[in-house]
Parts: sequence; structure tokens; C-alpha cells
Amino acid sequence: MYLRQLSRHAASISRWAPAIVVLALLSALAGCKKEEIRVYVAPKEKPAPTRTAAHDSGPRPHAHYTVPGGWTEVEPGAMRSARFSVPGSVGNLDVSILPLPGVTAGQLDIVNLWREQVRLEAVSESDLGGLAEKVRIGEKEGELFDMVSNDPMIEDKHKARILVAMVKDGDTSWFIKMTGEDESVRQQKPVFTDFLRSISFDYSAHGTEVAKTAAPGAEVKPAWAVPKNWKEVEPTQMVLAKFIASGQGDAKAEITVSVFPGDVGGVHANVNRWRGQIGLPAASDSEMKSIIQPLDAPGGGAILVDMSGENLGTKARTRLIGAIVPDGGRTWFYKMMGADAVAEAEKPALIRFIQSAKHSNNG
Amino acid sequence: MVKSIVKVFTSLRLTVVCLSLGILLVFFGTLAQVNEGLYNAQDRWFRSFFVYWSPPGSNFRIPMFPGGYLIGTVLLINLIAAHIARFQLTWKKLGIHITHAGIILLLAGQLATDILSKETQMSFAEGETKNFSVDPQSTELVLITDSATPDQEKVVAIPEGMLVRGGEIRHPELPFTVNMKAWHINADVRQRAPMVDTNPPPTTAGHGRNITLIPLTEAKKMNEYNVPAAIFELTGADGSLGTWLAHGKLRDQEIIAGGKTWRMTMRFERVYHPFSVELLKTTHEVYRGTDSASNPGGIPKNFQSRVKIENPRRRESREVDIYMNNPLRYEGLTFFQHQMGRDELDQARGTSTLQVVRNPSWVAPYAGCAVVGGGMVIQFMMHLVGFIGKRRAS
Repeated sequence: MYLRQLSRHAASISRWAPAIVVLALLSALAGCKKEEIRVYVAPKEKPAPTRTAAHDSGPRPHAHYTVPGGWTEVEPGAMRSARFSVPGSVGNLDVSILPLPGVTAGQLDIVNLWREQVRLEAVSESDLGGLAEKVRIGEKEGELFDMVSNDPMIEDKHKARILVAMVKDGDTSWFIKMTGEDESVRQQKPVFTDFLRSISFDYSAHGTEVAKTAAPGAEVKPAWAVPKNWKEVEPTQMVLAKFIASGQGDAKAEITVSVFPGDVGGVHANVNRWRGQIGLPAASDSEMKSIIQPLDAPGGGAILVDMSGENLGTKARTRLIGAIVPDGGRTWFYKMMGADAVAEAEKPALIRFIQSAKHSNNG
Repeated sequence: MVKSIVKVFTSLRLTVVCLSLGILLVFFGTLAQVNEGLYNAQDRWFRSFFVYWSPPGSNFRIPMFPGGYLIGTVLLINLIAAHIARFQLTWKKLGIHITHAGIILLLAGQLATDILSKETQMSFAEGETKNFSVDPQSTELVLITDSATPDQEKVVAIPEGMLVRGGEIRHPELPFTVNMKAWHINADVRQRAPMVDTNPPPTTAGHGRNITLIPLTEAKKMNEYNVPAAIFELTGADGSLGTWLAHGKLRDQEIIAGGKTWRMTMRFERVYHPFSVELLKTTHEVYRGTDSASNPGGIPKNFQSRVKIENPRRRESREVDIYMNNPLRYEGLTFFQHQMGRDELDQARGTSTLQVVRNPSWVAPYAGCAVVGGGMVIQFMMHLVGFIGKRRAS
């Protein structure tokens, strides 16, 4: 009787066994979702609508100043209005002018941000007043914060020091900052405060003066004859125009044109910047004589360099042919960088291209 | 053998044991959320067959408690097996059969929800349009290049799990291999400060050369997200393309390989939709007079997002209001009002986050409860009618 009942149960369960197995498998599946690479085609994203005028549109504020002796003006990058390199006893000191329109962050947060850079503890609002020195920035009175690290931070031997001057001018907060080795910054402090007094702020966007100092993005491309085999591509930030010249296979070279106000630190500093881009050591002034060749371009004073090094990422052999063309109050930079064979083949075309360009100040 | 297996699986004791373990699991799993965080605890205690423990400093794992999947599966098998073994097709037991079917539906529905449901978020500021939502619990490394059509792009997305496992990652669509060097579950980045950051930068190519990477502890609170960082080497046909850093706060980085330009970035996993949603207006109302020094925001009365749905396939363009307790159900998705805020750079502009849930088995718990309730009513009524009949007869 019992056996018969049992066998009936077993039989009925065996009928349902597939369903039970499926359920068990399903629950097991829930535990191990397989991860794999997805490939899909998606619509290109529309750029976000522009924010308020204070942030994206309108002219970028810039400063006028007198550059102290021994300071070299260098490429400022996207955020800074100006940047300088100052020789120090341990490496160079870095000086930058940073305008931030519409910045709402408190002074305390900003000071603590820089204190963090030199590994100092954050200070409270009540301590802040005691840390600030009054300083003249152009015609305005600003505040200067002098911060030095407790520990050696530079090459693990020397303390680091930051001088930050800040002033609010209308809606824009201006920060002028010097960073570097403690003793060198201390020695440069009087020069830095003199420099602060020479600064004036400019928010205008019109007139000939501004055309020379406006951000590179505001530049209009000059009339020039682009070689037929060059393909124009979307320029990146700080670049006015960009072209690709292709050789055999994947070999190619990239040609970029940019223009900046002033002499941007001079020919030597910029040639050394280019040398760094292809892994070459900086050249001394005497070595420069053999590197720099004169270039016959409208306006006169143009130079050409032709250097071989390596791609910093791929370590592949890379050629850089660059030209620096002064143009009244600003300087044009033409750079071809890429595979050796392509650069060699395109060098005459590059020179013809530079010579064809009608910069605004040379007709 | 068969006898003992059948006996175990049809035993009511097993049901009681499973239910007791279930209660303990819910209790300890809930407590564990304090230290492990909501999502980690869910995975470790409920979405697992065993809850493991590793002795400090060791790699091996010791199962110490049955996990949610094991208890649920055993309970389901026990319920079905007992039901079949004791099954008697009589009208007298109709209510019990229906109640059991309802419980099976509840368990199976929960399992289906676990396997099939997907929870994502859609965040935008007023005036912005989105055609995708993101899963903030899952990050992926994406490589994007032009597709055959000019208004579209091809995306190759490598999921977080593969990046965590490390090693070499290849795909036929990619002209390079990704060789993982380091992975940080949560990290921050900041611009390298001249003279201050004297350590070598984390990578030899891309933004990483100008960045200092700051590893952080894993975010465990419900309103915190991890921002992972990956450092990897790319190797193309001609050799190494350098080491690269990917992090959610970095802008897209350009890689030229195989004759194409690729954009690389790390972002939350995206789910694209065949329609777009534009945030037109946000409304954030609080009860009048409830704002105080301790609670400057006041007590919220209404969060409301007015959105415009554009669906070219259906030729549809309409405006909808989504607010608390009034989600939008559209194309198999449910959009709930989740968070509301102000644009960091433009305080006049409202922002809104909608929770987007795809759960094909969302009806199962409602149907399961209704079936259980119906079965109990039927069984009770049959007893009641029988009892009244007997009393009348006597």
C-alpha cells in the first residue's frame, strides 16, 4: 500500500521534473548574467544648449601687464589668460593669471584648495583674515596668500611655496599665482608684487588691439593655398586649422596652424617646446643656431626647424617640421608632425603653403 | 533513494526551515546594508546561492549561510513537489490549489523580475533632450568612432566586469587590444600642479599625463556613486599606443589607430531608447511656512517634470507631466520622478532625474496577490457554506 502510494508520487513528480529543472536553471541563470562587449550604433549627441552668457559666450577676459626681466611668457593653455616661466634654483617657477567669470565659490574654499596642493591643513573662515596680506593688483586692492609646505615636496628635498593674489573685478574673480621651490619663490616675491601692480584687466572684444589679443578661437583663417592632397579636419582647442597629409599605408602627418598674441616666449622657448613633443632634450642657445634656419615668408623674420625624434606614446620615429612667423603683434605657428616619409615628401608643400598665407598684418 | 529525496522535497518541515532561514536572511541582509551598502548587500545576501565569508587576509571563501537564490529555489521546488505529491483533484481543495498557484506565481514573478528588470536613470537640465538613460551602478569603457551614416556613431562598450578582471581585452571591431594595468573602484582626478606633483604621471598618453589620480574608498551609501578609474595600455598593429587613463571626470580622449579616429571615455552604462525626452520645465513646491533654519528647503509638496516625448517611429510628439505617484508608462518603460535640483553653474535652471524602469513582469506580484486572496476566499467560503449547511441539517 505504502509502496504503491510512493511510486504514484514518484511518477507524478517525474512528470513535473522538466518544469522543476527549468525553474532551477532559471534561478541559476539569474545568478550569472554574462558580461560581454556591446557594439551598437547610436545617434550623435546634440551639443547641450548654451549656458548663460557669463559662462560660454562673449569675449574672454584678458589682462595687460609688464613682463618682469627674466620671466618668459609661455603658452597659457585653455583656462589661463597668461602664463610665465621664471628661472629658480630648483627648476622653474610657474606664474599664471586665471580669470574666472561668475565664480561663486567662497574665498575660503579656494584658499583651502591651494593649501591642499602644498599639503597644508584646511583653515576656517575665522583664520582666513589673518592669513591675507593686502596687495595692489593694478588699480584695485586685492589679497595675497603666501603658503609654504611643512614637508619637502620637490624632489623630496625642497619645500614648495605658493603665492596667490586674488581680486574680484565686477563679475570676474582674478587669480594670479606663483608656484615653485620655497626659497626661489621667496626671492621672487618682490618681483611678483611689482608685476601685480602692472596688471590691468580688459573685457573688451572690439577694435584692432583686441583682434590681436583675443582667444585663438576668435581668429579667422587667412587666405592661403592648401595643397590638394591635404585633408582639412576639425581643429582641436587652441588650433586655428588642422590638416592631414597621408602617405603609403597608415603613414600620415598632421599639419596644425595656430596664432597667439605677442611672441609667446620667443623662438627658442617654442622650439624647445616642440623638441619636448618628440622626446628631444631642450637645446642650448648655442645649439639653436644650427637648428634654426631662416624662412622666406611675407613680413620677414620667419624661421623654420626640421627635427626628428619619437612619438611619446608609440615610440615610433617622428619628424617635426615647424615654422614660426611673426606678424605685427602676434605670432603664427605652423607645425607638421608625423611619419618621416610623409613629412619629407610634404616639406616643400608646407613651405609653399606658409608662403601663400596672407596674414592680416602682412597684406 | 528516490523515496528519501521525495520525502525531503515534499516535507512541510523543509517549508518551515526555508521560511525561517528566509526570515533570518532578510534580518541579517538588512543589517548588513549599514556596512556593505545597499547594492553590495543585495548582491551578497539576496542575489546569491550562498553568503560567503573570507577570513581576513585570505583569498578563499567559506559559505556561511544560504543565499536568497538558494532559499527561493528550494522553497519553490518544495512548494511544487508537495503540491503534486498531495494533489487531489476535488472541488473541496479548489481554494488551496488556487492559493498555492498564487504563491508559485509570486515566487516565479520575483525571479523573472530579478532576471528581466532593468533600472536606469535619465538626468537632464531644463532645455536638454535625452534619448538614453544610464545605469549608475555600472560603468563601461566606451570607444566611439564614425559609422557609415554621418549623423550616427559606432560605439564599442567594454563592461566594468571585464575591466575588473583585467588581462587582455580584444574585439574584432577594435584596431587595438586593451591591456589592463590598474583598476580603481572609486577615484578622483585633479590637474597636476606644477612643482608640487613630483611623482611621474599615471600614463604616457592622453589626459593622464597631466593628471594626478587620487584613489578613494568604495562608495556604499545609496546616494553616492563610485567613479572608477582604469589604466591600460593600447597596442595596435604597429606596437604600443601608450598607456591611457580613463575616468568619468575626464573629457573624451582621441586615439588614432587603424586609419580611424576613436574617442575614448569612461561613463555609466547607457541604454538607448527609440524616442527622445526633452525636459521642458521643473516644478519644486514646498508646503508654505515649513522652511526653517534647520531645514532651509522646507517640506516638499510636489516634484514635477514637464517633458516632451518625440517618437519619430510613431510620429508622436506630446507633452506629459511626471510627478510623485504619477509615473509615465511608455514603450514598456515606467518613468518615475526621482530627484530634482539646480544646475551647478546656472542656478536659474532646474534639473531633474527620472528613474526609468523596465520590468516586463511587473504584473506578477499584483496577479499573484489577487490569486492568493481569491483562493483563500474560496476555501473560506466553502468551509463556511458547509458549516452553515451542517448546522441547518442538525
